[in-house]
Parts: sequence; C-alpha cells; structure tokens
Amino acid sequence: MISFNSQLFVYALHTLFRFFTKNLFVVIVYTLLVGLLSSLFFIQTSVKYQVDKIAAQYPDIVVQNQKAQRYTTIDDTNLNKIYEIYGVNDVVARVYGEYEYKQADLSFKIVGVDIFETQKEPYLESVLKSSELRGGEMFLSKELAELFAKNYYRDEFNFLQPSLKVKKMGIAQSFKSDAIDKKYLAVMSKEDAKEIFGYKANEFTDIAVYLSNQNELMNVITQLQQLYPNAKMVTKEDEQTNIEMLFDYDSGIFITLFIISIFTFFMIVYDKTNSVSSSEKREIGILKALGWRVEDILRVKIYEASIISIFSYIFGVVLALGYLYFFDGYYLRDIFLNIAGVEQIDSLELRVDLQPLAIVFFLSVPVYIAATIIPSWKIATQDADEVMR
Amino acid sequence: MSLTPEVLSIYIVDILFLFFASIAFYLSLKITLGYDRNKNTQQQYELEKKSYLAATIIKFIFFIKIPMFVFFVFTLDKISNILVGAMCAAGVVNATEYGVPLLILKMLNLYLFAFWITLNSEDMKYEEQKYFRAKFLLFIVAFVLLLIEIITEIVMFSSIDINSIVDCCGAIFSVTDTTYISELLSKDTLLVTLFYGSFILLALSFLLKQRALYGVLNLLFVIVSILSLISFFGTYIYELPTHHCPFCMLQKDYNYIGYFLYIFLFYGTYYGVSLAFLEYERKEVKRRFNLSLLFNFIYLVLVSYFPISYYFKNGVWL
Repeated sequence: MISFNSQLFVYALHTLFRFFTKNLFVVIVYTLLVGLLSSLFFIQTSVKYQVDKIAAQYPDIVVQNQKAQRYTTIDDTNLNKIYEIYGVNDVVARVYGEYEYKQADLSFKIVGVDIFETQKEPYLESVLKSSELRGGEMFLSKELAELFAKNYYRDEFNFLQPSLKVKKMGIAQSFKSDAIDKKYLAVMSKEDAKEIFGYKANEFTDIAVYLSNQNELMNVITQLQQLYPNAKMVTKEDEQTNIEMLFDYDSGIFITLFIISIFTFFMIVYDKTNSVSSSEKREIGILKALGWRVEDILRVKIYEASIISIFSYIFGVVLALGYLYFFDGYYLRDIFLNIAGVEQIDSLELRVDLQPLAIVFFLSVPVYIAATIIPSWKIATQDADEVMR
Repeated sequence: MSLTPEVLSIYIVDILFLFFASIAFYLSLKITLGYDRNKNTQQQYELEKKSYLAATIIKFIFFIKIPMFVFFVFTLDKISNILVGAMCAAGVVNATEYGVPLLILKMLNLYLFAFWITLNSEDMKYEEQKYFRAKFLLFIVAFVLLLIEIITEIVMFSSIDINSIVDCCGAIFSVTDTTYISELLSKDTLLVTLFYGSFILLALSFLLKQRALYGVLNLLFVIVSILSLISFFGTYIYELPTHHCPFCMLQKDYNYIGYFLYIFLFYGTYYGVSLAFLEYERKEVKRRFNLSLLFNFIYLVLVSYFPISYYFKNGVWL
C-alpha cells in the first residue's frame, strides 16, 4: 500500500518551522479546543467514577411502594417474609426524605437511622461510631450546622410537622459529610424522622434488600413482586444505567457544542491554507521545476497537516491533564457536579480512560486534515511556470 | 435511539466522509466519462489534475476508516453496557436486523478501499497509467457501498431500543440451538481440519507461486478462520467450552487479543487476495507473497497457541 517517506516527512517538518508564525496561530487555537474538550471529558469520567463508586454501595433491590403510580410510603408487615427469601442477606426499612427550610430557601436531607442496625453507608457508620445518637437529638453536616448557626439555631431546631405541630430537635454534633449527593444533611433516629415527616408507626420510605448471591437477583425480585404487587423494584443495575445515561446525555451536549466550534475552526483552517503567500507559491514552483511530482507535494502537505493536528492533539491532552492534576479541574468541574446531582466532591480522582481520548481524536484530527485536503491539492497542482512568473 | 458520545462522534466522521466522498464521486464520474489519454486538450489536463484530488480524498477516507472500524467495534462494546441482556458487542449487533449486514459491509469496504489504494499506487508507478479509468470505476462502486454503509449505520444506531431485551453472545453463538449457525458451529473438528488444511494449501500454492490460486485460497482462508475461531479456538481463549463469541475476545479481560488476531488476519488475507487481481512487478509479487504468508502464519500461530497451552496446563482438551 502506501509507504512512509521519511525524507518528505523531514521536509514537511522544516516547512512548518519556516512558516512558524502562520502555523503557530492554528496550533494555539487547535490545542485550546482539544484541551477544553478533553478536560471536560476527563472531569466527566472522574466524576462518573466517583459516583459509580457510591452507586456500588446502593442496595441490590429497593422496594418502592406506589399509589396512582406516585411513590408513597411502604409498611413493614412483610419484612420478616422478605428475610425468609433465599439469597437475601439483609433487609432494611429506610426512612429518609427532604425537609424544606424556608428561611434559607433550600431543602436538606433527613436520614433516619437505627443505631442497632448495621449501617450500609460508610459516612453514617463513621458518624455513629464517634458518638451516641440519642432520641430527640440529631447530627448535622458541617454545612448545615453553619447555616443553622447563621439563623441563630445553635442548640436546637424547630421542625414543622405536616400536622402543623412543632417538633424541637437538639443539635448534638456536626460532622464532615462525604455523601456526594447532599451537602446539607441531618441524621437522627428513625422515630424522630418519622414524626417530622408525619409517618405512621409502621410506615417507611422504602425497603432496601441486600443479597448474598447476585445470581439470585431475578428470583428474589419475582418473590418480592408477589409480596408487594403494587410496588416497583429498582435494582442497583437500574440505578447504574441511569447514571450512565445521564452522563452520556450531558457529554452529548458538550460534543454538540464542540462540533459547532470545530466546524468554525474548519472554516478558519480552510481559509488560512487556501490563501497561500507568494513565497510559499514560489517554493512550490521551484520544487516542481526541480522535478517533484504532484503526489510528492501533496504528500508533504498532508504530512504537514498530520503533524500539526497530531501535535496539537497530544499537546491539548497534556494541557488538560495538567489542568486537572494541578488545578483539580477547578471551575469546570462545577458544571458536572450540578448536572450529575452531585453537590460536593473535595478533590477529583483523576481517571484517564481510552474512550474519551478516542472520541476527542476522532472529532478533531480527521476534521483538521480534511480541511486541508482541497487547499493542498490546489497548491500542488499549480503550474510551475505560472507560479514562477 | 441512543445518542451516546461515541455514536455522535461516529456520525460526525460519517458526515465528513459523505461530504468528501461525494466530491470524489463527482470527480470520478467526470473522469470515467470524459478521460481519453490520446487527446491533448485543456480538458484532459484538467481531468488529470482532478484525479489527484479524488485520489487524496480516497486515501484520506481509507486511513481514517481503519481506526474508525476499531472504534466502531469498541462503541458496540460500550453500548452493550446500557442494553439489557447484552454483555458484549454481539448482543448489540444482533439487537437490530441491520447489525450483521453492517458489520460485513464494513469489512468488505475495508478490503475494497485497501485494494483501491494498491491499484492507485500500481497505477502511479507507470507512465502509461493503465489502471487510470479502472480505479475510478472501482471507486464509483466503492462509493455506492460506502453510502449504503453510512445509511445502514445511522439507521442501526437510531433503531436500537434501549428498553428491549436482547440476546447475549451465549445465546447467539450457542451450539445447542437448532439454528443454521449452531449447526455449522457444532462441527468444530471439521472446521479445524479445514482451517489447517486451507493453510497447507496456501503454503503449497505459495511454493508453486500460483498467484490466482493463492488469492482464491485466501478468500477461503478468511471464512474458515473466522468460523473456526468462533467454534473452536475461541473456547480456548476463554477457557470455557460453552463460550463461542467473536467479540468478547476484544475486551480487556482477554488482553485485547482479538484486535491482534483480526488485524493479522486482515493484513495476511488482504495481501493474498490482492495478488489474484493485479499484475505486479516481479519484486512486488514476491513481497506480497511473503507478507501475506507471514501474517497468515502469525495468525495461525497465535490461535494455535491457546488450545496447545491449555492442553499443556490441564492435560485435557476442552
């Protein structure tokens, strides 16, 4: 097929340096474009990796009760029957929800815990290990405690129940939350949480089922469906697929934006390579007079385009890696945190996948080389005598 | 409809291909209709100039197409994560009716474009340019196939329904079913004999320097290789007698060995098949013979390694 010609390659390299300033502009714009897109992708894969890690701790099956296809509370009458299903390791009736805090115009998350249960989420485990949670008291995340203190709720907070009664809760301790989906968090006993939400004694938000054998998943679901015919079973895999699709969707938006900019760039490059300076023209005329064939000149031109695009691609990727490594993706990462429903990530765990690199490659390098094909051909097929005259 | 970033980037490159291939197609049409090397007019001169543009575009498409093909297979693997039931690319390929034809078409086009490039470089070697019209005629055919490929690709990706359940490769390549593919795959001893037999024939025709025979045997060799890979050698790569899948070996769990296997097979058979169609110089013929046999041999050694090492480790065949 086509053999690589190293002498022509070296010649192309020299030509690039001779027209340094002209090429510099293209390289800078190209590098920045690639750098921006690849840092977006790297941040995205890193955030996704961290969210995936959290998702791996989700319960294997969540039983959510429905009324008129809306989520509603579930009762715990069948809890022991769930325990008896083969393959089930643990069952937890959970109480959690959001409380709207009108003064600060935000809602925070309330998590009800039972100190005698094993805690499935690591942050809860560490919080409850450090000190004892008493009834009528709650632990707050640092952010929420600060917010309360600003509104002079230093020792206790008044919750308004649905029945419009007021429930006082003491503030016991604040902890540093590493739950990435919620910055503002209050941990209290299940009984207190139920009272605040207005649940009855046997009502729970949902039931989490943990399996000891993953292969039993479909079996367990069928049996759960018989116990709760109206309920919806959400598996861990469903949640993970949702996360995957969410991230795919938002990177789709970024690609769309990138396409617009890369085609603008296409026009710039086309225009730039199309307008050939007289000295460049003369050079090609001389080469032709020396006996260079059209293919040789074309090849040099394609080599030039390949060198520029591959160099800028690599440089852009390196730039993006540096930005993530030294600046922790500051500023740009906020975009993704909001989209993914993630409120806080202290530092990005840098993940470099082959896949975003491949995507950026296919979106930039072929487009750039394509933009130079027609102008290069125009230059290469000029007549020697016409150019020299 | 699944518009993942990978699919989106495939679409973009497809649009780029379509745009430039159309230009090359238009030029090829003009050249095949109007070119006459005995005439000495301005128009002929212009046509010859235009042939360079067409040739550059076609080369460009081919060189992007090779990594794109790998990326395409990679994308299928990626989509299998969001399709219920699919565990590798096989499920995605079979999720719609367009998957299998598209894959075959893609491979055919790769061979066709590679052949075009060979034709072009042969053509440029001689002053009389004897393949000048032939190569542009060939491109017209290739363009139509490329067009079909791009349309099928877009239709395939847009008709994948993420909510429907598809088969995983275990079900598609099952040998216990009664489909024609399982019928074929269950005859693994026959296929393995055919595989080694066709390689011996290849080597014989190599020694006899029978160009035409060698080329035709290469065609046979590709088909037998892929079938025997699915039915026999694959099971040793996975070390699992029931796992027949040509895609899972592309995954990380098997050290991406599939990519190497397919690339060697492609190069070996491509050089072989191209021998049957063109007249080369003596030196070029020798080079192509050698390269073809070398790559085919590497492929043979690679696939044979798995069952043999399995036998040495475990003392039994699967």
